[in-house]
Amino acid sequence: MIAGVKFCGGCNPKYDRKLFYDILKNEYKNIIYQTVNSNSNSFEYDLIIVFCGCSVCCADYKKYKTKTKYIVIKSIEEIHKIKNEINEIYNIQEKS
Amino acid sequence: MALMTGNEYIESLRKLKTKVYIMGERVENFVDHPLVRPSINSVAMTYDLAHDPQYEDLITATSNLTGKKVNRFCHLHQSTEDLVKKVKMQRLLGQKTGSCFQRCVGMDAFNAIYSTTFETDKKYGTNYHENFKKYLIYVQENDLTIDGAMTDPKGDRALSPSEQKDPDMYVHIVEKREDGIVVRGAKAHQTGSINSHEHLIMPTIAMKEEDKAYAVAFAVPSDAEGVFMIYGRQSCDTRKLEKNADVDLGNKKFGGQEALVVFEDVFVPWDKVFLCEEYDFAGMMVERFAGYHRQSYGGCKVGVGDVLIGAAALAADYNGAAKASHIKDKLIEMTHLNETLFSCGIACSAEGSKTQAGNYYIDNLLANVCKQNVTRFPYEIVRLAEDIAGGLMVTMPSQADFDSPEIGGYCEKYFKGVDSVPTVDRMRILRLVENMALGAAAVGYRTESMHGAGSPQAQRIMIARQSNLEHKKALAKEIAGIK
Ligand SMILES: Cc1cc2nc3c(=O)[nH]c(=O)nc-3n(C[C@H](O)[C@H](O)[C@H](O)COP(=O)(O)OP(=O)(O)OC[C@H]3O[C@@H](n4cnc5c(N)ncnc54)[C@H](O)[C@@H]3O)c2cc1C
Repeated sequence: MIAGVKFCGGCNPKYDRKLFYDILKNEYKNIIYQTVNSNSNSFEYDLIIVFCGCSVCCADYKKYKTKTKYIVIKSIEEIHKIKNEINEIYNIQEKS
Repeated sequence: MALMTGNEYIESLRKLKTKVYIMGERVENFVDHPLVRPSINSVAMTYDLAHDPQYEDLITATSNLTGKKVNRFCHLHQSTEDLVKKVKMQRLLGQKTGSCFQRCVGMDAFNAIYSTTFETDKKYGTNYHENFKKYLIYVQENDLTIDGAMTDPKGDRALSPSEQKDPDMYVHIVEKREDGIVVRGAKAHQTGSINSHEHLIMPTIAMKEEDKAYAVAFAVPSDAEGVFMIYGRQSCDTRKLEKNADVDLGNKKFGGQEALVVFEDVFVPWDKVFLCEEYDFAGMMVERFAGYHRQSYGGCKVGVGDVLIGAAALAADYNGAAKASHIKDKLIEMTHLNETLFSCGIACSAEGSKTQAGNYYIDNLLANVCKQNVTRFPYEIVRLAEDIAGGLMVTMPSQADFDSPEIGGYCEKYFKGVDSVPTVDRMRILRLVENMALGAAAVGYRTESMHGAGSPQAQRIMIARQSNLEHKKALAKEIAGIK
């Protein structure tokens, strides 16, 4: 499973986005993570994880394609919700 | 060419033959000069962050001219979202450098000149806009840093450019030739001038017909024949020349830079000329640049403010006063002031609109309100930081004293705050406050907040012009029942 990873620009992040990303990478070692950029516009990721530093979430991510969904993280409290969402997609992908 | 890294940018400066004078001497290798290098490191950050996935969403944009990814500092704003992202990018860079990162003046000049040349061409049938587009594509493709140079020395402020005793007090055209123009004069206070690949010159004030030789905008490489720079001194600058002064510097790695740039009969080919005697458009160019630049300060100063607030909070942690209610309240007040500036930067961006040329311009009333607040709030933030820091920020001994086998122990002992924090950490944070409050970075955080993008009175004139007072009077009459 390939996850596209996108960060907002981080002008005033309310949590450590990189740390959150590292926690996920550590937890889901089987996922291949790729930071999205202008060369990946046409690629379709299994899911796209967007790390936004605050609730505004100004990251420009909709131009990147995903087969399932965008998981948008806006605060550290969302970690359990995020894990559930990833598990859901991961299980579906594994079964198919 | 792809986006440069910080190192590639630094190497690209070495290829220039920029003529630089520092403290009375001609300096060949300005890139490694200890007085200059911190300011180069700040600009380099604008390049490095473009490659970091954590930040590239703010630092890069898609060029409307080429469809390619470019550094936002070379971008023409295509929407209000772009204007908002510009401010956020500036806040981020202020946070990362704790100083002026110098690349904003160029970005603001691009956007001002792009729309002004469009409207000048419409009236006069000139070809400035197409030439400027070509120039900007060259800048974007080569990821250049450009000095947006507006401020002339101005001589006697009561006199117009053409009335000055010395005609060089404002940059002016001395000769018009078949292949281009020759210009003379100087630009003062130029931020990042020595660190720029090119200079983009604009007039300083609105002009009348008699001043038309002064209504000139053009681009020249920083090492063009006849161009040279004289480096500006900063408070405490020679600490950068001392050995083992890391702690004393407060901010060892980053800094800002200003210089006087002299143009001694410099030739400019026509394709790099963007205004030439169309005096009735000088005011428009000035107003647009100033508008964008007044918006800029609602981002960059806020980022530096973030660092200063953090430093003040640490100073309180380190001396044991952090839990006192007045300290907490002072930190709240600093945050309130800082976020008010950010609010102004965001507001004038969100209320922006499309110019005739197609790029976006800020709401000029709100941008002037933003800058007017910037002329005040950083001073209050500094005052509160100094209150929290205590007198030691200006009375502590040098790093050499701390390193001395004879007296170092006394310094360690008597400058200790809370037991869990090493004395040297306390010294470092107090020196950082000193650096921003009255040292080298105060040039950018304080005096630039006052005068950069125009002195306070310049904003008040703009606010008066746009205050819509008649509408307000009509509202009051209506409610008061006055016919
Ligand atoms: C740190 C720093 C960085 C800067 N960076 C840049 C840059 O990158 N590019 C650039 O182009 N400029 C830059 N500037 C210049 C800035 O725009 C000017 O400082 C500003 O426009 C004020 O001009 P001045 O410094 O010559 O002040 P002065 O003109 O000397 O003003 C001093 C006082 O006199 C008043 N005054 C001046 N003229 C008049 C008048 N005609 N009538 C009534 N009152 C008057 C002013 O309101 C002010 O109160 C920078 C300035 C600073 C301090």
